[in-house]
Amino acid sequence: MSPRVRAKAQAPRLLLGASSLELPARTTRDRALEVAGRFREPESLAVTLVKALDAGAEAVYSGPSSTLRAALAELRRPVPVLARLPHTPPSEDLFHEPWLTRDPGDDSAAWNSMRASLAGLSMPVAAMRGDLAARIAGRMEQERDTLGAKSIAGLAVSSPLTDLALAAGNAKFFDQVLRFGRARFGGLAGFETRNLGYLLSQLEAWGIEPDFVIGPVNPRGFGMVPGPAQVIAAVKRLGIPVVASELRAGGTVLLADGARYALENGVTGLLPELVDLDDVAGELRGLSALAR
Amino acid sequence: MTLTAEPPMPTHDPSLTPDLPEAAAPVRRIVIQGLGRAGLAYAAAVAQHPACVLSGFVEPRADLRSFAKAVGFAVPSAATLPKLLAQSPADTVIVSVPLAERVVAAEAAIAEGLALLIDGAPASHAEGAARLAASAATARAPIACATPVLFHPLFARAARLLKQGALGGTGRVRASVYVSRVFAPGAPPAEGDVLDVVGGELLQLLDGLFGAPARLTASGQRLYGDRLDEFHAELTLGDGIVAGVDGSWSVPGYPHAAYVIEAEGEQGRILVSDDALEVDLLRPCDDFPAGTTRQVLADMADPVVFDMGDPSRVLDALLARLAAGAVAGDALDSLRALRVVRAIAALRRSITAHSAAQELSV
Repeated sequence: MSPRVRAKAQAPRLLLGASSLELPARTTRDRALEVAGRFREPESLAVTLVKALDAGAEAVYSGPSSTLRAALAELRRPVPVLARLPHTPPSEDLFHEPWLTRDPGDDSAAWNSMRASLAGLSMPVAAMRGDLAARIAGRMEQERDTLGAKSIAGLAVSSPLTDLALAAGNAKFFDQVLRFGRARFGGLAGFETRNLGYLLSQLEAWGIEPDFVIGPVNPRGFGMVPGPAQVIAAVKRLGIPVVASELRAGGTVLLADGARYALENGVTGLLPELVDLDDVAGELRGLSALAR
Repeated sequence: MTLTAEPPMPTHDPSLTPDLPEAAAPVRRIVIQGLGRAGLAYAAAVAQHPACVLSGFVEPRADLRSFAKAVGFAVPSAATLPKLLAQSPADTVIVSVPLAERVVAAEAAIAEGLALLIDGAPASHAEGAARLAASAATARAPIACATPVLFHPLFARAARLLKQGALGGTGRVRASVYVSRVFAPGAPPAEGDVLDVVGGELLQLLDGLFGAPARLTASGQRLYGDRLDEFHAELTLGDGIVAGVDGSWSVPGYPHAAYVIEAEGEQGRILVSDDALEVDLLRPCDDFPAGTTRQVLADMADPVVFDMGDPSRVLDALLARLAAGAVAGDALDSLRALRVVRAIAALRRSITAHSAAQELSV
């Protein structure tokens, strides 16, 4: 089934970002250290996750971090996780090879993808042909399993891979990974990017409709590539659901102001990170009301 | 220079080009040598930049060539530069090979008469730096070296301010870099230590901001094995400025390297990191008023054509400087990069010799 004719899944309206626990976030070092310290105990993060869901967050957005895994293990209640994959730890900078060419386990991507569903059955052949989506399919399933989540809400392809394939003009990758993600990650699949304006325009040109795209939108234009005007124009023009990240513009605007600006400019969902929140339940409740 | 008929990557949309200075003509034809992480990021940045085209890849490893093809880069590739140039003409090479292979790769590009950008330190030891300096003296095209931290918008802004004499005569400087790598999963790698991973960049930053080191003493600690995990040094820089320097790759909580520089002078004080630029001045300088000013990353103009991180900023700078006809004396200065390789070697000698002072020829 083509992504274009598929019935549209509901794009997320409010996510809680937990990537900043292990990945560098665009905030001050002091703030990042403070928040990491706050959630050092898994119980403390577990309580925060439950409060976030009760306050209106639909899922937690994160890669396979050990901190999140420990917190999820504390809870009997399933916490939906929108998986940010493939995982890209910052320590990869110690190695010359691209992280995706270094196998995280013993299995090859092609072998792993044989275990996949109908959507994944074409992957071994594709991997032998050298298709990017097939090469990473097994890796993403392996990383999803290490999350330890009882409930997977969907797949968001992480920005380093999205932007690499975008720059190379690899339309087939976007099409294939959407099919794979929808079949193997709970029905919802999209992309995270640092080049939101380009990605939206290119997806339109290719006729590819993800369930959502995650990218920076904020009143300062911080991280909005190629520029705030071009990004906002693409968001408004194209109708692809956009979940706004970097709402606080590196800590320079209030979260509510960032959210209001994003929603007024056409985004459909909000992604505040843990480093953006002090009163997690209270602030998410406020954002939930705005995003409704 | 001959322009290629068609850019090989079809995805750049001119209507999405941000407000940048006029794109420099002619279009550069760029080869990426080394398809590691940095090489792929440069390839992506080049593919999306309107002032250049991707001519091809040089990579001896078939698996890395195959991966780049799978990513979608439909350009020629070869195991050596001469073989690639036989298929696809080029005028510029970006060398992003492992540290130990950089001198040989750079010499190959110089021999072909191509403009050259080396990503990271140009050599792993002083002998390599000397050999490369000799080759560079015969080069027919510009040679540039890129140290990512010099392109961070906050450090670039601090450099401009210092160049304009914001502090008057600078007195004491403190510099540090911390990163968590020894504890990271799968780390540290088989080779290298704290000086290779972050020490060189910190010295590049100090040299770029305050001048070349003329003398140094250093000590170091090996906490987790045979390799150097921490270093402490005192550098006497160009104008007699004394800089106290600390570095470690074994401090928890720093997923990215945190560089911090603090400098005091007759006219004020600057504290700059990748978090913020804090300036306290007795008199106005550039567009900074007298008194205390704090700027963060979101305050910096940082227009990149396509955001692949540091390689995007480096590429913008390279193309602008090549269009202007020179890459010396700025953030891409290869002489400074070679000088810092020698300074790191001197730092190692000082550590081995129980903090014995080392003189450096500037």
